[in-house]
Amino acid sequence: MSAETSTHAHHVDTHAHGHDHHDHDHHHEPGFIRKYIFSEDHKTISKQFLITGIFWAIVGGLLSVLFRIQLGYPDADLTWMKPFLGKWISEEGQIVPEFYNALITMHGTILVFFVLTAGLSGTFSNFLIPLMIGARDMASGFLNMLSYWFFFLAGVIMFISFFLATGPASGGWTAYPPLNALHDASQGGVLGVDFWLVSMAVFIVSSLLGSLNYITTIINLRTKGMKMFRMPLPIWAFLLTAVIGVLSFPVLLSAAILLLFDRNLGTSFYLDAINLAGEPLANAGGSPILYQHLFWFLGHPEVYIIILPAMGMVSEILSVHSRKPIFGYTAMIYSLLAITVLSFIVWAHHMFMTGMNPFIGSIFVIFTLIIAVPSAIKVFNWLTTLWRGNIRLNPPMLFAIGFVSLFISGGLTGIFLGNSSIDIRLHDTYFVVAHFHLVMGVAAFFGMFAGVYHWFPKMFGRYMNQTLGYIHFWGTIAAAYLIFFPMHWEIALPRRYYTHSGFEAFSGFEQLNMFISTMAIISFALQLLFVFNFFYSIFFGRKVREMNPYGATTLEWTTPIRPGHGNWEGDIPEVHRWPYDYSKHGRDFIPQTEPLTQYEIEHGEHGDEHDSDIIKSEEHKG
Amino acid sequence: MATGWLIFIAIVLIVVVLFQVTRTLDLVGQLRGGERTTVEMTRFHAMLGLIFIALGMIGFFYSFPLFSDRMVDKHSSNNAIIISKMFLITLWVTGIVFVITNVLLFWFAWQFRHRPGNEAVHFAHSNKLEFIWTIVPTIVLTGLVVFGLQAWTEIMGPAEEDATVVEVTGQQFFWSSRYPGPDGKLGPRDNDLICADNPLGIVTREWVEHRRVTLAGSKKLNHVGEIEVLQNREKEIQELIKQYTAIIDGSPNKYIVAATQDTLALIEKELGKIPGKITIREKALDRINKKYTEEYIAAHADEFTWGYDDPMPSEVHVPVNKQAYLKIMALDVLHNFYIPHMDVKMDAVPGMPTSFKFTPLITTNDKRQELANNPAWSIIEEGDDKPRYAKFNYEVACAELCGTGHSAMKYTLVVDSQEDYDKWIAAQASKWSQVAGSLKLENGFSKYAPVPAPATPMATTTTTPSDTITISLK
Amino acid sequence: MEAAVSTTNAKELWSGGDSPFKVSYGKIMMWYFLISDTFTFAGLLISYGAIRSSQPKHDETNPLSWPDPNHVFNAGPGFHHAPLVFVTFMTFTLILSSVTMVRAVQEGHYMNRAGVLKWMALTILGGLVFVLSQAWEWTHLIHEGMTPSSNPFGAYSFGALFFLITGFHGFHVSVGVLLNSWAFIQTYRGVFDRRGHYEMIEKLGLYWHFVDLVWVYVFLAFYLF
Ligand code: HEM
Ligand SMILES: [Cu+2]
Ligand SMILES: [Cu+2]
Repeated sequence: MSAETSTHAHHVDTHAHGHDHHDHDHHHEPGFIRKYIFSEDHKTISKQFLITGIFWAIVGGLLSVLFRIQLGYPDADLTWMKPFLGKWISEEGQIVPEFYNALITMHGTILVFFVLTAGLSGTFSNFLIPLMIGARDMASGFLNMLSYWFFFLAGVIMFISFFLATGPASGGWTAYPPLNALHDASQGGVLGVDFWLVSMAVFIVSSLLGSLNYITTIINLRTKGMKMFRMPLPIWAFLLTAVIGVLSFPVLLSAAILLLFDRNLGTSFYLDAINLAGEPLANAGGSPILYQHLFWFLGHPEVYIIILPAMGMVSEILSVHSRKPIFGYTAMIYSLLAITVLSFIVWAHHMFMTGMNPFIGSIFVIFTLIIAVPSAIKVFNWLTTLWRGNIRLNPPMLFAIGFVSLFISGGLTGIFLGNSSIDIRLHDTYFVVAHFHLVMGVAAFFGMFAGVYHWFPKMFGRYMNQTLGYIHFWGTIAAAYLIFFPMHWEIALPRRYYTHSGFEAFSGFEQLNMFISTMAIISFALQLLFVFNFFYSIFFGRKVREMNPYGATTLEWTTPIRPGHGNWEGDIPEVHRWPYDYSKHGRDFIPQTEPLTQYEIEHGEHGDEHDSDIIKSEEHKG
Repeated sequence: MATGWLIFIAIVLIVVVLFQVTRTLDLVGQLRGGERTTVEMTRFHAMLGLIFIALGMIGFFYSFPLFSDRMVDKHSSNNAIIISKMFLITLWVTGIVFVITNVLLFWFAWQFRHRPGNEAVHFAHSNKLEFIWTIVPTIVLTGLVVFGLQAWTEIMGPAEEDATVVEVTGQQFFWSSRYPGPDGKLGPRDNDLICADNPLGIVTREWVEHRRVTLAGSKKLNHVGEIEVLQNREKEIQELIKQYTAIIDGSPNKYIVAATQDTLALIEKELGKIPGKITIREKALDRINKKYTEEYIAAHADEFTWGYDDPMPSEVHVPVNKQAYLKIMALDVLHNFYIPHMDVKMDAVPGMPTSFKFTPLITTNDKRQELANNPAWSIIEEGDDKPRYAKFNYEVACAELCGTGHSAMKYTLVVDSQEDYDKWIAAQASKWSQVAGSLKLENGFSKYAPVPAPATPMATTTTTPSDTITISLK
Repeated sequence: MEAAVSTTNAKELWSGGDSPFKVSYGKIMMWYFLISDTFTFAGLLISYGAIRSSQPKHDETNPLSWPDPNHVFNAGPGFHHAPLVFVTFMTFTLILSSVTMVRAVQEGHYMNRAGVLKWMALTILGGLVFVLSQAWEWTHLIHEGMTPSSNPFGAYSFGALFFLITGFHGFHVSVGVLLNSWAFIQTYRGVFDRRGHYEMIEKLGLYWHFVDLVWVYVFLAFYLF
């Protein structure tokens, strides 16, 4: 990085609000290692998460390209990959079935956990929480650093599993037993699953360290005047994401421990009456369904862990670039809260077809469809935020709009899936794949892109190339829809199939699959454009020259262009109003730091009359 | 290979050029002043947004009918009819919301774009609006839930008394089925009794005895048990290892050494697996001995005869217009019994039998006739003598990832007219009663020779343990 | 430590610039950690419930039914045929060590280094005795033939669940003993005196009481019912 980075560590003043717990000595310029590698500065850690996330996204994306080749171009000759992939490519130059299963398993695991959980939450919770609430750093910089390094370690373990002779885990990202509990039921089960489980356990530790820090920081270290209901929406989203993480990841941990025991110590928590290839196993008394309950108790909240941060950032970005307050700030918060609570009581909608009691299924149907209500509220509020705005369409804004579109399109299919009777037809088909990729996969990526483009200037003091950003956006949204929309037509096709060619019932989709695969490859290539833009701009992007380039109200834009460790040079600013005073009283925006004028009513205090007044006066004008 | 590189270089070049262009565009934009650029860029991309959503909607409405018969036009079973109806209702509701919200989104981006003279309105909330879009989705969703749960209870409710009962079993990587014989009862099963001759582990006195003999051997029958066979093999291999090692150490011929080393590695691998196999068998034998005591057998004497007459055909047949009740089992890992045409889908869980019911409405033959009218089905494919429709069959697949062969677990469902079905099941029953007859005890032991299993799919596929025996007897 | 803002208004508590709970970040973090750890234990104990409910109830005639704890746990070092005596001793030790922990925290409030040292030593001792007792019990049971995959007393799952859950709890106690020993050394070296507060002891106290509380559930699950 350029010389500008030389930070202002000396200014880290500890007594602004009597709440600085750094026991370390800040009065020395840290060395390279402390500054860039074992750093405790939340901004550096955030960048570490982001860059590691990008690395994993490329790996995960490549895996998907490989299995999409198998699905779309089953006859392609891949002999040229043999030098890299060895026995995973057959003599005829085809991906072998076991490898296909390993590819989809690793793709799912990597994207769900490493990219969209750690890469997304890790990056933005770390970067934005202290900056937006007015704190010098996270509550515990040390634990924060540990959180990253545990994530790194989890990644290393997962990465090593690719090089095992018997290959990485291949039993699906959900790792259902008995397939994943037995050593001889699949090749990935020989050793790959052990690596997978240990990696997950380490990952859970990382996630918990991160979440504990985020929650504590938000509760304890808000600057003066930053009431809970004055917090920008991303902060609410990060807070609730962390709460969900703290409560759901431990349950995955127990599920993983039980599975490790079953695999290696001869226990039978998930196993009963098994006869593998003619060999009766001694295991008795367990239940494979128990695992699914434990897994989805995490698994469903996990999808919200992925989407909530994206929702929060999109809300902020939509508001900033339409120069309008986010519509229904309180409703947005309450719907986030509702989603948080409800996300814990819908898990069994992933298990309608496991033979569980249909009456219990019905209850989960009801809860599941209730969760669609807060989601709907959010969508309508986003739309209304745009309504009568003054919209600047730059890349972050476009990605935010794209997010809303994808979230709508993918969320609506959830209403099919959540209705158990329809799920009989849809369960484990490509319709489900389409659903969760639109609503979670691509949408969360869009949230992440929006965030990166929007806060890049704050992160690196330079801008990303806009035109590349535009191309990236239009290419990606088109490709995403062209990949995942037609997938809804593939209701007939069961997912996780190496090939559908053995069945008459599944024929007739060859062309469509080829089309989808082509689009997938194109969209992967497009992402490299982003990667290039990202790294190029870190070093050579146009420099930021104003403190507040977007005219935003929130605190991060009151820090120096390149904030040092400690963020603000002098005292931490005090907050006097909510973060969405855009286009108010004839002013483009009023920063949170500006005190209310004498007769001004703060939003939310007596907001109702106040807002409808504005509407009325506007209506008169119009 | 060469083309690969060419493509790669081409891509790199394109990217470089593109990038230079974009950089220039960015710089020009800056030189001309941020504000003007913002306005123009906003206009341009808002316009793109309109085009995007227009094309998107056209694509949606164009491509949906292409595949709609694959999505909703299912009518081969009562489940399919109920679900298709639910699907259509939901499709209408969500389809409308989908179109309206997506169009509004991009239209707003155009309509309220930043341009000279446009001002944003400070409109931060409205209880009325928010109330509306809380209450309306709630009502609509309640409606969907009510309909949905009605359908769900109908499909998942208890089966009729006289439903056709079929037991299906999934294992890596095939399905098998079993019917209650003329006595109307399915015999009990036990995993420990599974062997090549009794692939589902049906419990009868004979099979218990048979399994004891195959595991432990019998002096009286002059038969060596699997456990002993393995133990002998273990000794044999240890002996071989000594011999081979001597060859390797002593032979001057490096080819012989290399070849011997390979063989050595193979048998060492085999040796490594033997103790585990012995333990498994010893444990199984132990359990069998503990469980099937004379008293136990006596107490269950009746039950243990149910299995004699259970046919195990190689495909599922059910009569049309009559409810079929599937009992679904799995032997090793999770599977899912999936009949796409019938909207049947239920996990097969080891240790936890599940069930599912459906009423087929169109016989396989009628379905073929129906398809004959479809041009895509009336073609005769290369190398075939009959048109496609004539070969149509309802297929069964697996819908729960179960390992490498997951996508190959194909099975067949035949929907017969009642008459055809009656004939078929009678034939099956007589075939299988012969099998049962050949199994009866002789001198207190079951007849030992492998059972002539008609149409048992597993007879060919199951590997262990009989394989081990043949190898070692050589 | 905490800037004393005298306010009774709940709204102002949350208005930033100060911890709304009037506690340091470390203690809050410990609380949240304990909540999350509760969920881990809950996951294990719920699995216990699910598996146990699917097994046959205790029945003298069925060798695979759920075993009778009075029968399984009836020995201690040097004595036999004394159902649950040893575990009662273990439980008692652990609870006592919680009491001594309370005292240590109290002394910390008074900034009394000698007091803290004394009560921490006793707490560590209690923890050690517990862990060692558990080690003895495990050895004994393994000797009797109970392992994660076998159980001469009845249902296999009993052994598996027992070793898993008491093991996970024992791991927590061991970590606690290590942390307490570390804090003991720090106290001895006067680190907390210099820092001006004994908050570290308080945080460890929270952890210790939690581990104690969890034991009650583990005890109920395996020894009582
Ligand atoms: C409108 C609310 C939603 C409803 C009613 C809903 C319902 C469902 C249901 C019932 C399934 C199970 C389908 C099956 O396997 O048969 C499912 C799968 C899934 N959903 Fe949703 N969903 C909703 C929103 C979301 C959101 C917001 C996300 C993520 C951010 C999400 C992510 C997923 C994922 C990842 C899966 C598939 C997991 C797997 O089987 O691998 N869903 N959804
Ligand atoms: Cu879910
Ligand atoms: Cu399968």
